[in-house]
Amino acid sequence: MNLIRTGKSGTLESSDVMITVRNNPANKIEIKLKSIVEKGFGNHIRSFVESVLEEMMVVSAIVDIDDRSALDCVIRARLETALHRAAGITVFNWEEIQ
Amino acid sequence: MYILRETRALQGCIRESILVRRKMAEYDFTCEIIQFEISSERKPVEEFLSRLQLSYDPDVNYTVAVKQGGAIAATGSLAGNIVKCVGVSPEFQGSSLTNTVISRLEMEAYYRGIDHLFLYSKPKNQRVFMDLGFSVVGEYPGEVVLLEKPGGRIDEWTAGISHHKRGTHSISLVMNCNPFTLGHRYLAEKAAEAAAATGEVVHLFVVYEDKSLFPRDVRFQLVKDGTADLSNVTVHSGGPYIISSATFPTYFIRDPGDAVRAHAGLDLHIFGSRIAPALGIDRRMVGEEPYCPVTRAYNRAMEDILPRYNIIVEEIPRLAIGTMAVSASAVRDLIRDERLKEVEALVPASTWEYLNSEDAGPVIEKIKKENRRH
Repeated sequence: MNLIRTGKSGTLESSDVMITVRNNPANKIEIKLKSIVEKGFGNHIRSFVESVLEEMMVVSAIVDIDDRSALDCVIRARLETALHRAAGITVFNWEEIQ
Repeated sequence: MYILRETRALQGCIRESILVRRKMAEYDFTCEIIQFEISSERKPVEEFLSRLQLSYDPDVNYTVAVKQGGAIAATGSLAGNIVKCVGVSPEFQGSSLTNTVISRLEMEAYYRGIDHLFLYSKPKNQRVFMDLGFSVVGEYPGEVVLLEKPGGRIDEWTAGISHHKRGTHSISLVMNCNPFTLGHRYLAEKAAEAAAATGEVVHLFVVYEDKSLFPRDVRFQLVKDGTADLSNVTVHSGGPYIISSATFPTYFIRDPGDAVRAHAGLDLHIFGSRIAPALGIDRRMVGEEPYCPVTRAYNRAMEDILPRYNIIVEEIPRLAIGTMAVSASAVRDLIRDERLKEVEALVPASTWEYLNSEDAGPVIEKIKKENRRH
């Protein structure tokens, strides 16, 4: 998946997450995480986001995450939406999305 | 271990979501877009903000309000890429209504194609916004902090130009060049000479903000062409951090009010703390300003603030031809008065060539119609 513009999704409400993705000129994955549960779950969130990126075949991205203690399923939903927006994909292939 | 974590997150989440639901149900909040063109919608926002000692900026172009039973509990606005007029009623502080407001503004900005937001805050409130992903660009101590989101963009920007750094001594110039005249050329030559004497380089920043009569790309190109023979001068775009509508909003307004002092200060603190170190700048040269009060106030602030960052400020007298100080505004005045011929003596060949090209037609028309400072 190629990111052709900035993609954003989510809110800053409690239990939600706001995710912004854009292409990384350095051609790698860079995750900037800000979370109110950073201490307990920072590493888990980072590796979870990495695994979703890998699934979506994204190899170059800067991912800004403002997490307000969202569950993994919420993070996945917000990230997938942001990635689709960034890639300019408006038709979702629901079967491909896990 | 994983299960334990999940359970803890789930517990936290359930607790949180119960709180949110209770918050929304008990207080019955709704979030609305304010039709600010309609005075019956604008008035309550103005009154709400004035109770918080804030004013409703006339240049906002999107406003949301969180309401409870018709009364405003929190509000926030966008003016282009700047988040403005954010306020929460004291009785609801702590119920994270700022999050609701900022979320709405951020998504709206995104849909408008804006992916870089700025926000001014009083230093005592900056934490609230930093918790929402904003980071500090610069501070005018005690007065105002400029924040941006995504955080850390300024670091990416300075990293992008830092390969032009040559040692720890260099001279900088910042110019709008609307358009590039012999006056600008004179200043660039002076700087190039001074730098060459000690083997230094000159960093010339052209204001990026596209609010001048001559378009951004034209201004930049005319500076490049007009200084191409000065081998130790590098021309940079000022980007969003040097005299931009974010760092110095009042520069683009004619009225030199109180805000100019704070904004000029903010712009210079950002220059001193962020940009100068990235390029090893320890001198800033500036042309004397005989006409424009805003630019004059900026020059005064420069002499006050930059030395605190060990940057020497040198004011160079204007180049005069005959009895006339050469300035871009003088050039525009001549164009306005249909005396284009006389401009030839005030601009370098490259600018003169542009003014006589077909491309310049619409710009010249615009100058004749408008009477603007920058």
